[in-house]
Amino acid sequence: MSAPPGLVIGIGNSLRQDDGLGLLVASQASGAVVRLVHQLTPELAAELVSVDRVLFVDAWGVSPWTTPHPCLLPLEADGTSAMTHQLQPAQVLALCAALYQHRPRAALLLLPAHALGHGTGLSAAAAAELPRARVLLRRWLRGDA
Amino acid sequence: MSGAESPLAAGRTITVAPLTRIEGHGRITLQLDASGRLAQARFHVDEFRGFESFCLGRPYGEMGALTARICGICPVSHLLAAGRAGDRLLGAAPPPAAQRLRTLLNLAQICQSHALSFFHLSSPDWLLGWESDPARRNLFGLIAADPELARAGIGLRRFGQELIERLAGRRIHAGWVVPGGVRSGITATTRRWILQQLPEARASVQLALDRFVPLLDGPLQRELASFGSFPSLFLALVAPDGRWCCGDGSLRLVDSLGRVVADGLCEDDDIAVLAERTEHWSALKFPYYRPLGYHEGLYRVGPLARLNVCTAIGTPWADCELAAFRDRHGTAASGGRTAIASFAYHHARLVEIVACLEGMEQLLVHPALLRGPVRAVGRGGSRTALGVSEAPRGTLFHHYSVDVNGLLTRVNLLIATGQNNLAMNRTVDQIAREWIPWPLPAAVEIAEPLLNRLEAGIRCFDPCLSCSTHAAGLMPLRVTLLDSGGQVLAERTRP
Repeated sequence: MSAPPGLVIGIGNSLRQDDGLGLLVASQASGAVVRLVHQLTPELAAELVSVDRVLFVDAWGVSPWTTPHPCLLPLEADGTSAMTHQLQPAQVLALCAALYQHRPRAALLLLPAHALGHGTGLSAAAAAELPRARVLLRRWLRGDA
Repeated sequence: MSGAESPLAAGRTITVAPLTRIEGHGRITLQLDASGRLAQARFHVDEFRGFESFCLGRPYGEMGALTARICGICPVSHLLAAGRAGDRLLGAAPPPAAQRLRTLLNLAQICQSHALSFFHLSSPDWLLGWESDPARRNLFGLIAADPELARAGIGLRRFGQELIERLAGRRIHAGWVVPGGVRSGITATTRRWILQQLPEARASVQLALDRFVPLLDGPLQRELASFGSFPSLFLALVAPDGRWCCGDGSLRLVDSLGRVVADGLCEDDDIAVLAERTEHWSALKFPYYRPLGYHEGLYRVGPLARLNVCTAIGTPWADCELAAFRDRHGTAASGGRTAIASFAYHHARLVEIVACLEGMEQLLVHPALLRGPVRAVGRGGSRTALGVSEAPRGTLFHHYSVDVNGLLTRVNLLIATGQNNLAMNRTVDQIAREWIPWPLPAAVEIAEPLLNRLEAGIRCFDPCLSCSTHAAGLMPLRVTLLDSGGQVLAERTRP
């Protein structure tokens, strides 16, 4: 039995090398509703009302303390932000819960970013991780994660 | 800072930084004199990007896409100004359908941008209170206090954003406006969708008016009187009959008595009557009306200016709201015609959202919107051109010169926020004089409510510092207290 279609939100800037990973991977989420955004804004909360599942796909700067591989994490609402036009995924979920009393199941697909300079091409290290990212995306689309 | 160690008897400076709930990165300094009284207050913008330089050598047709990247909040304004300058360089007047579609796009942008400013950035101050916990004075606090209003704000912004996407293909940085017109027409589906959304959008702005306007008679009276209330000039585009205009129009400048000072400006593709001065302490330039000089030539742009400059809006509900606005804010000296309080910018934004919603409906029911070409053929234009658009924050100028190959040899961008720079500085000064007990006591402390009021004075103008310095960066602001010798005595920064 297939999972109900969900919403996939890709986050990033395609003009800043690996920061565009979230947009690239999210755009390959066949069967789901896809939204590509530079950053998360409050009105996205209203779009979550109509879905049961949402996946945020974003690049994350690699550091000695983070995994160099893509990872899929469950996500909970967290409404502690003071910002109003640049939110984290957990804060969009919190807005949705507070405003519309709706709590879709949420996950975050984090993609390691190695280069965030000006340019449209991915770094070799980021490109090498794309197959693994696609596996995680398909797993979420099937409802296995 | 410790009062015992503060050289409080001498002059000093207070800095408020970073400023919050604005677009961009700025700070405020309060310079004291030797007696501990306020000598001057300044609003500084510290960022610089230099679009005017690195666009040189590019084909002018790229300017829409390039300059839209200045800002993620008001890219449509840059797209429109670049498109209008491009029309003249190409010698291609957009067909009527394209002109209407461009206006529709601008109305959508003004609607969503004003919703962001009013509901998300500014309403927490008056709904939660100036003295409320700053950690709660944000959208989440607003939701807790008034979820209906918060939903209305989010709904209005979403409506404007989605309209832009349906029309132009993307919510931000769409390349839809091009020299000579637009890339595509509107579909019947999109037209129907917009008309279906309008009733809910109208209800949302009505709710905001019902919540906000009564506060002006009570808890916000002192802010209304002290947040940048002073005579000045006002600049905006008007339609040929003098009505409110967010499409093609001509520039009019009026004074605080409502008298027309200059009309039909920029028709010769020049903005010679506007001059710019730079100051060493800010990356934001200081435009002024040249014939009156640097300080006397202070003028304001944006929602307040547009309502002061126009003779009417031209749609029924908006004209009723304009009349109510003038009854409330119009000065006696102007016969109730002109509002001089910068705090009234917030009220003006709501009136303009009404105007945008009604204006959309007018455009959508016009049969010409769906008929005819949307791009004109170029017939050879000029080598210098000025493109003007009314951005949410005020009048925006793109002034280009090109060589024989159409490559840019000169770019000058005059941004709405920059044109309000002198007024924002004067507003900060007025708030500091009104709300700080001078001379300062020995144990100086920059109280949070004071910090917030100084910031709120800037927020009246809804500045977009990324646009106005063409600058990238974080948003926030800082307040610094300096002595007469320039030594920092106290500083407050929000993370």
